[in-house]
Amino acid sequence: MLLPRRLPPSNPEVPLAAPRSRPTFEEIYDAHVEQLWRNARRLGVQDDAIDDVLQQVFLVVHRRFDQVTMTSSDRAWLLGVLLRVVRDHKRSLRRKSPHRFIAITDPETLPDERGRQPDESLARAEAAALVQCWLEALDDDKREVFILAELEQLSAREIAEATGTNPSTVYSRLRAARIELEAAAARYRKSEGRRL
Amino acid sequence: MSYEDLTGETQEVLRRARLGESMPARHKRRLKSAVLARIALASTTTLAAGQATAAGLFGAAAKTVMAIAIVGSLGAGSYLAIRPVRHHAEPAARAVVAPAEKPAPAPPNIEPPAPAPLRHRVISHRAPRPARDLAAETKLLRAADRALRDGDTEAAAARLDDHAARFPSGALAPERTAEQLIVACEVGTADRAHVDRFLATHATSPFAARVRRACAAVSINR
Repeated sequence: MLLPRRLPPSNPEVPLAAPRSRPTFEEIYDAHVEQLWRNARRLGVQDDAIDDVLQQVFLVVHRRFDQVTMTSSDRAWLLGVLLRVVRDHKRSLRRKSPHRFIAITDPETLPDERGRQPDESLARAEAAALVQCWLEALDDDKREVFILAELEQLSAREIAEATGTNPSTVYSRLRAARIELEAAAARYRKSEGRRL
Repeated sequence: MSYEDLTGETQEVLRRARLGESMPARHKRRLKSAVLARIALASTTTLAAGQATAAGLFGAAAKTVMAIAIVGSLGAGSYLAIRPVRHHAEPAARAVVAPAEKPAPAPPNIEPPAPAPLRHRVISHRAPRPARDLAAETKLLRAADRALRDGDTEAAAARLDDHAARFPSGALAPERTAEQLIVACEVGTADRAHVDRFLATHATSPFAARVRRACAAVSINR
């Protein structure tokens, strides 16, 4: 369910062009595409499907264009749109072929590590891959909440809005997700036979 | 369990993963072109129909959309063509990877690029979907849509077949399928399962409403 958007309170501290003009669709795209891409991957969308998923998200954004204001809660709203599109995508994937999980990797969709210090990008890539691996132990509901809370650092209220639930459900899913993720991390450490 | 109850190691991995990976700039541009093309196509075909819902559907965006569509009669295609699409300027390793290849018509003032790391070579070697394909796709689907609105379902079907043959997995393939379903519903050859499958997998597509409308009023083969 898409929730009605509120206009942001005017805040003179915000260093945006004044008078504040509405962002164009392209500005919204530029500002949000990266985090949507990152989270689509975290949610388990394969490289060969990521364009399709993100296009669907932006078609929804375009339809709701007059409701997007580029405030911090727009981030939660956009991530909520992403969650719904990813759920639909996974559902249709299961319908088409329940065993279709062979990724076709497009070099252009791989993360861009240029312009970073090698150790920094390695640390990030390694951490992202590890977390990805642990997240696979969670079911979709817990995975969504964990990503939004621990990686995107949204508030319980924002997560409730994005997932179409309420804050107490968010808290209970998050508690369960932490336990399961920590267990997955422990299993990983044990199988690796070393400390991280 | 609270965040603090996670082990220090897990917390550290999460902290690093939070910073995230970077989306490749070329991927961003390519995706943006595809998104804008789909929006322009969907918007102009919807607005052209003079549907009462059009204004409400697009609201403040209509102006942007029309601006995209009005830049040249090709709409999204022309719009995309004026965007910086520099396939020949970027592949740093083109000369290294394919020295025998006919040189790309690069502007003469572009300096020979510095040797790129292997990873970049792989990326630049891959043929990207050129913007002109998108322009051609848009043009074909526009023509199909016009024919359909003029009641010439035969011509519309021919354009759509043409699109399917030339761009089987083109950026606008979902829009083609939608138009094909609309044609099939109008001439009474639609298959209910196909329609349902499209509506289930493209629930968010701007075309879904049109398919639903076109296919609601007519009998559909079961």
